[in-house]
Amino acid sequence: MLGDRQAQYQLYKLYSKAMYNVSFRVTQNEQEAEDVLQESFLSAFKNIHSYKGTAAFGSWLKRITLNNAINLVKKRRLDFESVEDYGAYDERFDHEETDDRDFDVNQVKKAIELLPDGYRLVLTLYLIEGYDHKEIAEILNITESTSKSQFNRSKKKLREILKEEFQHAG
Amino acid sequence: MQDKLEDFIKENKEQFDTEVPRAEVWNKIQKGLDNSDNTSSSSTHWFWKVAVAVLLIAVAYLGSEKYFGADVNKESTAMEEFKELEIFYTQMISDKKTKLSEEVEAGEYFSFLEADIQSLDQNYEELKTTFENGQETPQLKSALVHLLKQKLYLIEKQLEILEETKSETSEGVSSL
Repeated sequence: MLGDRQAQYQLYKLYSKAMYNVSFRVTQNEQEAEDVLQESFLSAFKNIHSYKGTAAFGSWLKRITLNNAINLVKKRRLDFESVEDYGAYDERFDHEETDDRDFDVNQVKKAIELLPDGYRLVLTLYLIEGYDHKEIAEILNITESTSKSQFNRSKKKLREILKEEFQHAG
Repeated sequence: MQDKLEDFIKENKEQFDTEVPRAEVWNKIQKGLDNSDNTSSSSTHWFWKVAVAVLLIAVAYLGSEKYFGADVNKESTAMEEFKELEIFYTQMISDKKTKLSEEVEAGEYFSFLEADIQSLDQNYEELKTTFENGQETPQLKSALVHLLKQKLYLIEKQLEILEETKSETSEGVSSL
């Protein structure tokens, strides 16, 4: 039993920071992110027998954390339908953006935090968590084309925020 | 298509992990795991503890029959009380068993429970035969009621475990 606990603590030390950040990016709330972290590690340790070893442990844990965080936020405020209500994305307006400035991690991070829930989620799942649109569609229970169009809209919105909030900086 | 912003985020994604959880989180996880360990170990052993306890009680009462003189004045009262209690507990057991059957169609721990109940029923029938054939003592009546209570307890405990399992599976991990 003691050996189990030590092994569990090693896994916690290895993955807790990354999982906490995954959770925080979804919930945008420290307390909720901690609750999700606690719930996710407990679920993972209690259900370790259902880990089939087909994916890395970190990937398996990340899916548990993401699902818990998304479920929590969905219950409270997130409404994906409202994100889809903007209508079909018109690809004709999807032209290449030219960025004539250098970016700063802190500024981009703050700008991401200012994105609406649905936009922030799709953008971070794709660019930071590293999922493709097929996986995002599965995680968020939306279509792949919705994931792609939301991603394009969220990038556009992110640029607007960066321009408005940090145009005089750096 | 080259996208400078997209590339910047992808290339620096590790730097976006700036938040650090508080140390209390691990303590809470550890506490949760300790509780879980206690629950699972008790849930696997309590069947045996109850079964052994019941068996000892039954054997003790059966073995001590010869030492209890049948008190004629108390016989009819004990029999009446027993009949009332038997109806009461049998009804409760029947209700709980129906509820349990609705929760579980088939399962290994259900058949395990059935085996324990069969063992209790066997003890119960032996005691009841003794009780009705001239040994209508308050002690035997108590032993019979105790066995009915144990049977009820076994079913109630199983229902509790099923409810716990149900709430755990609804946490969403099973869908992963």
